[in-house]
Amino acid sequence: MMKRLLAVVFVLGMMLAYPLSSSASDVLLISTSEQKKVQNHISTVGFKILNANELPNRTVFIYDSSKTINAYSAFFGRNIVLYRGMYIMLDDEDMLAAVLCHEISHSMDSYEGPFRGTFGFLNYTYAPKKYEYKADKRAVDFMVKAGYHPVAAIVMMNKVMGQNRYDWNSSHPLTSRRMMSVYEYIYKKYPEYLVDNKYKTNIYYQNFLLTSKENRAKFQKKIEKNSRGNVDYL
Amino acid sequence: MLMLPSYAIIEDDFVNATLDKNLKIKKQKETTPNSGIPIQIRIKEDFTTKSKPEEGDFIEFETVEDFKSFSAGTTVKGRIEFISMNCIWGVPADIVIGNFQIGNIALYGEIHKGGANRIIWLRPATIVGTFFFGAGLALIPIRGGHAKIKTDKIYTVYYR
Ligand SMILES: [Zn+2]
Repeated sequence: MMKRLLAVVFVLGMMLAYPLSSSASDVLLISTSEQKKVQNHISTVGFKILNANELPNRTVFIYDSSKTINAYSAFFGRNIVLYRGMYIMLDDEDMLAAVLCHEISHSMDSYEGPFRGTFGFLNYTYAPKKYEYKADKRAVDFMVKAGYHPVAAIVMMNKVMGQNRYDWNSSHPLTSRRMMSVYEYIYKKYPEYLVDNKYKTNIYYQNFLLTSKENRAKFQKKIEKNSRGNVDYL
Repeated sequence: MLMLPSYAIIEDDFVNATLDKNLKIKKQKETTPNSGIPIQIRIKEDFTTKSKPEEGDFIEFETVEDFKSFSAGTTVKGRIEFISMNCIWGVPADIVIGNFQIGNIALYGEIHKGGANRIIWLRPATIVGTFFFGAGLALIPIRGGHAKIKTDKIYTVYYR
C-alpha cells in the first residue's frame, strides 16, 4: 500500500515537473545527427557573418527543434535562437543569413549603453519598431560584407512573415513596410544587387514585385523628385 | 530555387529604368579582422542628427597626421550607412558612418554614435510622477538625445 502511494506521488511529481502536453506538441523529434548537422550549419553561417563584419561583441547561435516559425535574440544571454519551424522555410543559405543578420543586429544593440547595455531593453520596449527597421537595414550591410545576396532578406520576409492589418498596436512594422524599407536601402546603397539579381524570377520575389506595386510607385516618386524624408508605405 | 517560366515574369520596371544595367556585384575583399594601418581622423565640423541627415549622405572628416602622400588635414569622406532618429520616451538617435574614402582609396572601419539615452531616468520618473495627479505622463513626449560628433574627437579607420 505504502509502496503504491509512493509510486503515485512520484509519477504525479514527474508529470508536474515535465508537462507532457507542451513537449509533445511543440517539439519535433529529430535525430541527434540531423540536429547536429543543422546546428553546425547555423553556427557556421552565423560566425562567418560575425567575423566578416569584424563585429566587436560576442553572440552565439542555438538551434531549437520546436515548430515555431521564428527566431529571436536573447537580450540577457546574448544568444540567438532559431527554431526548426523557421529553418525549414529557408530555401538557401542567403535566406538563413538574412534571418541571422537581423538577430545579430539586435544582439549587438544589447551591448550599447551604460552598465554594459543593461537598460537597453527599455529602448526596445518603448520604441520597438525603430530597432526592427534598424535590424532589417543592418542585416543588409552584414549580408553584403559576408558575401550574401541581400535581396534574400526580401525573399525570406515575403515567404515567411504574414501581413497584419495595422501595426500601431504591434512591436513590428507591417511586413510590407519592412520589405520596402529593405528594398529602398538596397536600391540606395547596393543597387548592383537589384540589377544583378539572382532572385529576379524567384516566385516569392515575384510576389513581392506583384504586391508592392503601389509602394514602389511611391518610392519612385521620391527618387524622381529627389525629395527627402520617409515615405508613408502601405 | 523555385523559378517561373519566362513568360510569366514580372519585371521591376523602376529598377530597369533607373539603374545602370551593367552594374555587377563586386566580390567582397577577404580581410583579417582588426588588421591594416590605422589612420586617425576627425570630423571637419560639429555634426548632429538634428539637421535630419539621411542614409547615403556624405560627411567630411580630415586626417590628423600625414598618411602616404596625403598631408595632415586631407579630406576623408564618410557616408551615413544607417540612421535612426530619436523618439519619445527618451529613446536616442543612432547613426553609423562608414564607407570611408581618401582620394580614391577605400578605408575600413565604422563610427557608431548614439544620443543621450534618457529612458533610464524618464521611465522611473514617469511612473513616480503619475502618482502626483498624473503629472508624470507629461514626461512621455520628452525625446532622447541627438547623436553628435564633435571636431575634437579622434576616430581610427584602417588602410588595407
Ligand atoms: Zn527583430
